[in-house]
Amino acid sequence: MTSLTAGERQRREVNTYNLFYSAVTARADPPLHSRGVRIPVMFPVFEDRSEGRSVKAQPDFVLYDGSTCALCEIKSGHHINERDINQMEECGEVTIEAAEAELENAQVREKTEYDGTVTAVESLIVYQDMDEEYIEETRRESEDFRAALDRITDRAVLMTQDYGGDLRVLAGDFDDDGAMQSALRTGVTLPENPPDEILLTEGMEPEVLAMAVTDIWGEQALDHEDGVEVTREQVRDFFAPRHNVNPGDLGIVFEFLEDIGACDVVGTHRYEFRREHMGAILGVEEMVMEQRVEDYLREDDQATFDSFSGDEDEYDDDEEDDRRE
Amino acid sequence: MEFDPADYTGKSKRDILRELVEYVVKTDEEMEGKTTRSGGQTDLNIYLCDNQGFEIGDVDHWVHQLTEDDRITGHAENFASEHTFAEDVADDDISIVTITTPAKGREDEFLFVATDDGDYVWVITTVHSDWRDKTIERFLDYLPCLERLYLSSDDLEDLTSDIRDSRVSGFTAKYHAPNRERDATLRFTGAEPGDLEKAEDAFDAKPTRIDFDQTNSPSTAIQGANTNNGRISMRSVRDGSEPKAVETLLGITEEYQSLDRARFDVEFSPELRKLENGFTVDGFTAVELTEPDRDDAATEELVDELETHVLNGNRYRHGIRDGGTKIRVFDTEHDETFDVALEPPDIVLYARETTSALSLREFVREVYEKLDSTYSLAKKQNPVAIQ
Repeated sequence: MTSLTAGERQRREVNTYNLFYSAVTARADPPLHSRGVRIPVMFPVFEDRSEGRSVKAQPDFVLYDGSTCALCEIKSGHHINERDINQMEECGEVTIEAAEAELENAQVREKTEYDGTVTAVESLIVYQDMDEEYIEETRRESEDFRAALDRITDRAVLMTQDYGGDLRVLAGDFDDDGAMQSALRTGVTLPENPPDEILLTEGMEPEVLAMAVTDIWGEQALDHEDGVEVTREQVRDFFAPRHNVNPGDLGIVFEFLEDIGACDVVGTHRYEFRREHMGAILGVEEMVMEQRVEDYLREDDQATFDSFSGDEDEYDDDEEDDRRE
Repeated sequence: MEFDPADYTGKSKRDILRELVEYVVKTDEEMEGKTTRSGGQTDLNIYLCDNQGFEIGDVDHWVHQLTEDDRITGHAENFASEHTFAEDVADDDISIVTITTPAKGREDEFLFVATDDGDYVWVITTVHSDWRDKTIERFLDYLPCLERLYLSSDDLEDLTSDIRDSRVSGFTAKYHAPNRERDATLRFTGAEPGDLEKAEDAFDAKPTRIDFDQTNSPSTAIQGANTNNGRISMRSVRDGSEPKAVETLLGITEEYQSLDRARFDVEFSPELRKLENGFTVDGFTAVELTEPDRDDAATEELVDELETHVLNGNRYRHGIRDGGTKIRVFDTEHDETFDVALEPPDIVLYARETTSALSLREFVREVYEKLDSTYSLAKKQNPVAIQ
């Protein structure tokens, strides 16, 4: 396997989420939405501290069809690790009442025809790089795998998905037997090239962060004649609590974006996106796929230093010198 | 002046069309003598436009924009400086716009009618095609707030075949594809039933204009044509068949608008929202261009073709995404972005928050006209978090 750049690895993770999302869209066959399934909330935190309980489930997606609430965890690989098992354990602890409370927080009653009632909570985990053959072989060869498989399927239904292939169940049983369970058991054929609806990864490293920030705030500028201002804190708040964006990462992301002409600095930790930045914004993904944001900045500093100390490039450094005092 | 605002004040669309159909009424003798169509005469033409912010009485303002806005290209500015524009407002929904071409000593008149819901503007005229090209068609091209509707060939055929008591009497069909040398246009008059299908089967040519004859029993009473570029026309109406002609026009305009809406309107916008406990993306809209007249294409090849034939020019800026399998497109004229996802040989457009019918329709039109006329068109949409 050829090695991926940091950006490409993050892109792959993003795509895994977007592929799962596409199961609910009209490009899937049959689309889950036609069976009444919606995604009321992504990346929620389900906390339950009632009656001495201490549950904190953090599924990637929540599916809801008016009765079943499914907590879904999506993985790009095929390795069942301890953390996955623990995550599904937490999801399994979510009660009907806790699920109803979170659906209420997701404004299900206001936004859908559903009243937010839950009759069953299901947990499911999708491994994109797993398939029937892998399970059969590995089960034969590895006792550890057999144990891990048993433990995860005790807690969740194990599924897989593929571009232009099917979202389907590999192992495990649903707790209940509703319409959503039957739709998932039947399987859904997914589009070859699903849309980029979400640009989030668990780690939110600078590369995907640069893409997400320009996708969200950069493009908002098109609807505002005078541009859109955003502060570092606003960006952090937007992604919190699930995605704890490192302020230092955000600092270098904005430094990078400003450097390539994708935004302006207008105050302390305050940035502005305007229509004329769109040209540079469109180039962000290609740049961060090739090179880490940090490496770009280091090279850029070096280039500035080189041209500053040398005397062959006379004119074009003025601007850069001013900025980087 | 030919049109008098007083004639139209407070009139319904039906009444307006009834007035205008008079321009193409023919006697029985004239109808019999004209079995084939000649180009010399003038037809009644209606341009159907998606209205994104135009109001009757606004023409001055928009002409001013054409000369002031530095985003507007030189062509528009030249156009605005070579003509003068006057608007006589009849009422809130109707005005008469006169475009004067001093160099040629011409004045051409156009009736602007805003539909009741404000979603569409009809521009109605009897000006000859040579001058429509030079005046109103250019004006509509340059106005960012009015965009001519567009139908795929399949939809154009459905539209025409739904006209009661009518038959296809002629058509223009085009064939254009990146993997073929040929760039063909078929013009067919005196068509018999089945001829259009034959042309499609034999040449994979897709109609861009379909002429029809409509009977008012027993004989041909109405002759008209629909084009895929938002223009419908009526060439002749037999004396006495005016009410039927008006019904036909009302039916065609209604269906044309509804087909355009079905393909391009973004009803479910993918709005990303922060919730108290996470995120949500409300809706999903995709426009699919599928099953072209070629089996396969490499992704890079398709990207290259789109860059060469569609994304070139001033309107678009774009960025390559997802390892070369998607293109983020910025339509600078409409200030909208959308994604083009490649599933070779198919092309899928995904709406983003800023996307409306304006940029989707324009891109699809460009693909058909500049890249490949043989794609089929469909829209897929659904609510994801809402409803």
